[in-house]
Amino acid sequence: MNYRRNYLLTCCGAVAFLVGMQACIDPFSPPEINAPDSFLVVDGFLNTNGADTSRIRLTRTQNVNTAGAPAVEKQAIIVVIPESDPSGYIFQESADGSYFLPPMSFRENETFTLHIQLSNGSTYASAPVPAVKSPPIDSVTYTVHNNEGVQIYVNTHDDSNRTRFYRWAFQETWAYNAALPSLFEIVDGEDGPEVVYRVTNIYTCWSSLSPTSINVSTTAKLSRDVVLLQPVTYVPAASNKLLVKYSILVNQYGLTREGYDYWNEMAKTTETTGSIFDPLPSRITGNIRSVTTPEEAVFGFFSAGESTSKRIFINERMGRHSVCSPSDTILKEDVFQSLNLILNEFDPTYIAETPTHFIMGSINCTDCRTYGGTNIRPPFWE
Amino acid sequence: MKLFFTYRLQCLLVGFALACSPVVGQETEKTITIDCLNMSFDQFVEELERQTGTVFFYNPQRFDSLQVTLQATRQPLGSVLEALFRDTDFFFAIDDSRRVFITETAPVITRLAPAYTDTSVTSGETLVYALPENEATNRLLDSEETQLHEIGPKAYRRTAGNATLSGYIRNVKNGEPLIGAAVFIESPSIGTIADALGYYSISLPKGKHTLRIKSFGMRETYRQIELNTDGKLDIEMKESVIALREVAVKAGADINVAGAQMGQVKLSMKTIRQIPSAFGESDLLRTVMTIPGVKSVGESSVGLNIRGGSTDQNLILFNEVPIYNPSHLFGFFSAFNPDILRDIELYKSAIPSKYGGRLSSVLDIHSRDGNKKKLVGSGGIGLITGRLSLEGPIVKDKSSFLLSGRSTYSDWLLKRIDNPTFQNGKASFYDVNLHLSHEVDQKNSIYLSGYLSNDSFRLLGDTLYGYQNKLVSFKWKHTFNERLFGSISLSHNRYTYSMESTRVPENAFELAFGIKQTSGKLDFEYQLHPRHTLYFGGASTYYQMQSGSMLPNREQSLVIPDELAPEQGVESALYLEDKFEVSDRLLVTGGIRFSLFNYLGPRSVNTYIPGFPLEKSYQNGTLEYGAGKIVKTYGGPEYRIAVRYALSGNTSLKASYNTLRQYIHLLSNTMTVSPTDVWKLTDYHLKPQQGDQFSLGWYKNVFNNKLEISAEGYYKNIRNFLDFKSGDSLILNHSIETAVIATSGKAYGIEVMAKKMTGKVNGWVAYTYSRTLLRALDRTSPEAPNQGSYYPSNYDKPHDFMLAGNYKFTHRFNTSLNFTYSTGRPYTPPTGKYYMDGAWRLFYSERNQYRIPDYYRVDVSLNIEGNHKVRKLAHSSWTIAVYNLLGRRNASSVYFRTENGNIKGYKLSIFGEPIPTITYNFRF
Repeated sequence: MNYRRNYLLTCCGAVAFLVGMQACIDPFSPPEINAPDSFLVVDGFLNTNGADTSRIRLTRTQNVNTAGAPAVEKQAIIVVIPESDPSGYIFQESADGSYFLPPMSFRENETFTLHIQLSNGSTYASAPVPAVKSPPIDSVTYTVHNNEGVQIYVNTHDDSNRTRFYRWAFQETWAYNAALPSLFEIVDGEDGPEVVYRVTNIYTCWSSLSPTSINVSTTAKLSRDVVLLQPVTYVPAASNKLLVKYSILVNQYGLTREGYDYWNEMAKTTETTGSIFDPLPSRITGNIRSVTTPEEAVFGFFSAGESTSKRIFINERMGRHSVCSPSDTILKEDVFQSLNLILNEFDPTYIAETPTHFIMGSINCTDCRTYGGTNIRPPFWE
Repeated sequence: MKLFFTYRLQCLLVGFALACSPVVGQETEKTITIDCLNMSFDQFVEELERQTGTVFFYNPQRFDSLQVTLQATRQPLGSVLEALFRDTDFFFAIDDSRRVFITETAPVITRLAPAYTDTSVTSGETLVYALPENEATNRLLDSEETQLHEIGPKAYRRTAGNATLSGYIRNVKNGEPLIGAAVFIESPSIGTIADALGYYSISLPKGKHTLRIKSFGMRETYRQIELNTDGKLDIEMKESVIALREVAVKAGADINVAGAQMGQVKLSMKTIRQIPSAFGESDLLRTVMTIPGVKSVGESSVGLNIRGGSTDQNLILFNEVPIYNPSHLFGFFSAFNPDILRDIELYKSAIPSKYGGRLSSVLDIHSRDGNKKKLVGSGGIGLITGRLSLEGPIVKDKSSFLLSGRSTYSDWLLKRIDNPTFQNGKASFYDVNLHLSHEVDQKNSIYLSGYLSNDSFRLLGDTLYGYQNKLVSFKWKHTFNERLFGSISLSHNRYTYSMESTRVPENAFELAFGIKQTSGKLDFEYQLHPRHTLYFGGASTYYQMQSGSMLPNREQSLVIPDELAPEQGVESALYLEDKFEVSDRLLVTGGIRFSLFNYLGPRSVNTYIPGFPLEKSYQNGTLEYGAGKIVKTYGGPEYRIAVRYALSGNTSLKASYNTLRQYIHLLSNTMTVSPTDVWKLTDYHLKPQQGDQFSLGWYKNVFNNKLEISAEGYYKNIRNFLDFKSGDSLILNHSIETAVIATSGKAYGIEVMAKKMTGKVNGWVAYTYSRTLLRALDRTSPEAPNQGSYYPSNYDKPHDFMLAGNYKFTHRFNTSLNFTYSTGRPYTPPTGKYYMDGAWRLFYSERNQYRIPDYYRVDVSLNIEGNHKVRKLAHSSWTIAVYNLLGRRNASSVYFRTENGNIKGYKLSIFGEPIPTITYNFRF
């Protein structure tokens, strides 16, 4: 429960209201702040459902203003050791600092420890973690806010009252249309380019995003393990994601208490810190320690378990279509030189006995792929 | 023969009458014939003595450069002298023994008034009567001033020694006591200051004196007294109609140098009104922030950090009752109606023994007594708030009431905004104050005061925040005799705060905290000896803390009621202080306060494996204590020593050493005071905070006390200050001792200030250099911030400069200008990033190693007073002010967020634009 985040909003709102100011937040670029050292980062999750591959990635920290991908740790040895099986399982190295373990089934209520040895010989170990199984998601629901947007919620419960700590992630996918439909396309025929009826769909596209905001909640203070109307995300109509059709896949993870604390702290320091009423930031590391030099910082939280997921579709048709006018009407011979795309044939009944003309539209108005989406229909799309 | 008289001059009616016509000698037998040109005065006198056989008495130094040119033929002595001294400052008198006295200013009276030839005057004394300085003559119409007040029965023959005179000093218009009025005689120089009830007590040599009385905003007055035995004299003073020049700090004019107190600042309401404020209303706490050594972490917050102390280390007293949250609406307003305040005093180095329980400072706020003569009112209308107060007599001259209220209309405005977000909002606060005073008789006065402040707000979120201060206090003041008086006060106050959310009925909750405090206090002041004044007494406070509860507030709510067990404790103290005037130059105040704290049951105390840190994982059981059982006792002596040594009449050195103990903690892991902070008593595990401070100061008043210059340095140790451990929740934590880490701190600094409080241009300039550093007590703990080394506290701002200036065009127009600069406070920036779970994450430097941008701000205001006609319906004034004139976006806070995978830095400024305001004030 983000008491302090709400308080920040309240505070800012009060000033804005009292003083008539629109914004009280400005961008701030601090002078170059460089951490002298670079530390190991362990990012990954052990899937215990027996169906999915587990992935762990080893990288290094870098300075705030350093651009580019993080440095990766290669030729490390990663072993996961179940409590009941001290021999353990070795992850296979792949490209880009990633290490994989094929799908595996473990005993119920198993506890795991992660051991890492880097190529320079330093070794690291995680605290033992139990596998946590998430209960199924009961439903993903939403409410419409004044035609301005849609608030999406997740609901779940655990009759055994054992899960108590949750984390959610989501992937959103939406379909959208180009402003102008193109009925013809130019293909390479035997005698050079020719105009045919369009085969490739460029009118409807699909975009996807997986926001990385951290969303955790606990029912530890409730008498039953029930999560009701936990906000997942708010989709504003102005984003035009809701114009045609919108879909969201919500993934739910069960957490241990330590895992919850870790994610909660991570959310606090990386997402809400800053209001004068927020907690002061502090260094969060996780449950992995260096065996060789115990005071060395290591970032990352190792956890194990099974996640559950649920997808819904939203057909609210909110937002505003983009407006485009056809750009030109040209002779058939000229279409092969045009940078524009063919929308339609000019109605020949208007001007009898003249050569065929085509109505053209700019590519930005006509090809939905120019907006970043793909014209391949996702397999789950309904 | 050259002789000068040193008898005390007396002002009597008879003297006045004689002054109207110069005294002329009676003897005319011997005449003078003289013709001198540029003759020295000495030679001239010799010639006259030779011719007339008289003897002259005069001060030769006054005449050594005087040359006499005069012609006279067979003239009487009187005519010659009259001609000589016409139109000069000199007077002469010739007595029956043919002695000639030449004096300045007033003639010597050579004959006793008939009333004084009786035996009450010790024979052999030569009585000399003379007028006081000329300006006094125009006051003679005032019978109180001209009349001789005889104190005690006149003895046949007065014995030597001192007697004590005491009484009340009041405003003649409304009967209000005049606190801090100075009562003194000039020769020998003896003086005192009226206390908080307007009561003064002064020990003087028996005999006749002119007692002078000065008080701020009052016309200076004096009383002729003949002090025979101990006795009483009440004094009423008139308001100075043109008080504006007299102002502010005449009362404290030489206190800066002469008082033993150091680090004490007294602000009158006049000073407070001159400081421009953000929302147009005079604001007490914002004015306090302009004093060197006083800082605040955030601009909006009124959490004060005084000389490196944390916000909970200030004892904020309103009519002697502690206030836990002295602010309204996120700290934008202080919770006191400026119209009812009399003055405030801030003690930041030498803290008198009568105060205790907090480490850093005492901020003593007093409300006025109501008008005892007639019903009057006052009020003000600003952009956001309105206030009204009404006062008047209940029984004329005996008892009075003062009732005031203040509120905001922002709630009403919110409803009118065409935006659903705001229409759901709520932002309201109010405070109500009632003060009754009654003078039972000359020796007994009683006071009853009540205060209520309430805040409640919900804006963009769905959470409703609220807090409330309530207090009632009763005080009875009794004068046992002229040397001993005492007061007893009883009070009860409550501070509660809460938060509630009802958006999802299943999760609806109300989170509530509260403090109840019942106190009794006994204070005495005893004048043991003219050079020793003793202050002694005791106090006891019973605390009941509601440490936090989270309860479902809807039927459907699934929230499990969770409540921390209440806490109880008693804090008691006894004190004794002696103010000893060793000599005219050396004044020593030494005091001791013994404080004791009992943490009381019922209580269940978590125990931990001995030798291991206080961690949840090492908890091995609980101890149960029954109701009223003492769980733990802490206590010890606190020493308060202050020394003043006067290097000269206008320069002094002061030093003080204090030790203090604090039994209540504010636990916070945010940078400023927020409504979710937890107040916690010292308990089984958490030890009391302890501090000591040594300070040294140099004070000089120049230009006739018009300009005060001072420099003070201090060094302070703090122990057992609780800082939070990274990331542990402090709310509803059943083992709170595991979430905090005890730290020790040191703070040191130097404060330099020049202050001019009179003249058309007045104000002050202050510069402070100060540091505050903390480190974990258990330096080896893995949770010790920065590996157990010192780190700057959140409110460590080394450089601080302040200018508060005021220029008076006329009595009706004046402008004020404020300039503030300070080093940015420390923060903990991200020093690196790493990629995890699909996004870049930050990690932070060691605690408080970097600073946000420096802070500066300029405010201006213009005050326009209505005309000063005494009779009109309402007196009014306008205040037009611009806060943050330059519109600098001072960072209150900076922070970093991961947004769409990128790390962005932001700074939050609360007053990022110039804020103009206009306020209308009235009085009727």
